[in-house]
Amino acid sequence: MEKVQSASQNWNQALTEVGENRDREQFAALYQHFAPRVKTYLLRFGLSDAQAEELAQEALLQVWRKAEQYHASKAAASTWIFCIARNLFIDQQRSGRGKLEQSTDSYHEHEGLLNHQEQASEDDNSWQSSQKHIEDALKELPLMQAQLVYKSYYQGKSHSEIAADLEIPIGSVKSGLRLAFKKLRLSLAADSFAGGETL
Amino acid sequence: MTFDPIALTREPEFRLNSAPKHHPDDATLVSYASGGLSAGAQLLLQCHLACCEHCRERVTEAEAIGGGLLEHLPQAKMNTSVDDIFAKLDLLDSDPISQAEEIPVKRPDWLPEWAEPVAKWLETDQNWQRLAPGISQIKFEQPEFAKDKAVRLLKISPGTCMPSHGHNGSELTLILSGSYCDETGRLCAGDVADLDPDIKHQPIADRDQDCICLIVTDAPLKFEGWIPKLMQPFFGL
Repeated sequence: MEKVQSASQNWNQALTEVGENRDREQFAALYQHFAPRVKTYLLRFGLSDAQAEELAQEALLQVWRKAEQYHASKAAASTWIFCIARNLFIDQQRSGRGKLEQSTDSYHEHEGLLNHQEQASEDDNSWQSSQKHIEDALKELPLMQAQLVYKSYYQGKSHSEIAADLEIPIGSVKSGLRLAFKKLRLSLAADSFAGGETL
Repeated sequence: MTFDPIALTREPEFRLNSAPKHHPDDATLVSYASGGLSAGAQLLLQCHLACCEHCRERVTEAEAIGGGLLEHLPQAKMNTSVDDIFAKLDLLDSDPISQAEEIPVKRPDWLPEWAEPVAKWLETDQNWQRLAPGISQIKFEQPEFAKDKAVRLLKISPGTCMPSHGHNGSELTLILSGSYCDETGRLCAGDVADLDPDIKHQPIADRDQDCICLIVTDAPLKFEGWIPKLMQPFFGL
């Protein structure tokens, strides 16, 4: 648990220093850690490699520009960067810049990737332990609920789009998401993503 | 026209005399946080969040899940090196952000302060269009709302009874002023009704003042009985 706290807090600290001192060394570390993940996040929405690269860059440039607004007491650095990437994706989608291919892939197709990742990132153990809780919580969800979380967070789909994709009623999408949220919230409560503990 | 982006941090904004009692479904708050809501639904949630601390906390939690999931993602290969990024930072720093001046929008009297984001979608001199005795609407038909089935403001005169209806898709209703009662209880300013498709309801506006709501639907409403059915094309609901 000690380790869990410190990994997440390190990023919070790095982002705070970027905000307060325009610290380039810390920013470089944040870039190397988060940009490749933001790019994967954007690729999942069906963006081309070039679009995802460009938006991931834009996301990190916004991190640089807006870092002064970041408060470690309110959110974890990963959460704050997630919000920036999400807003960029929403903009991209609404402006119609670059047609998105509707991705219809599903959670279990990526499960292998996630597992694979565990071995691939031995060089970067610190973040991994900090993600233990959310990872476990996600794996413990029934497949359908994991699917709903996946389609919401990684594909940005609405309830009715998910219902159409999975051929289930909207009511089932909502109740499934509700249950998944309840379980994931509990795992967060035991975790450090929610921020707040740092100050 | 551009949408206000979802706030990166949520500050306490407006405090209503009585905090909202009817909230969006957790599933809807999760979709707001994950970026899955249609433009109309996002606008509606933005207004509710401005006056509802309970839901602001929920959204913050749902965003934290997003942050956790982001960390959990495998790394894609970036073709841009840190040095390239530093070159861009130099450019950015030498060119301070040119803030696009937002032209202040005039907020009509009936629109509460916390629902300010709605104002910019109202055309100047836009009038209420009468639908039926005691019911009028303003429909938002901007291309930005293309993904919503309908985004509208509905004004219901005191004591007016809406036709009983169910839904094919989901319907989100935010009360902006006044109040109404239906099978789920009494809804007042700031409250949200987030109805599942299988729920039928028949709202009746309270007797003291007009009830004005923002309603976002993602599929046509289903009316019961033949008269409402005849009215359906006319309502455009």
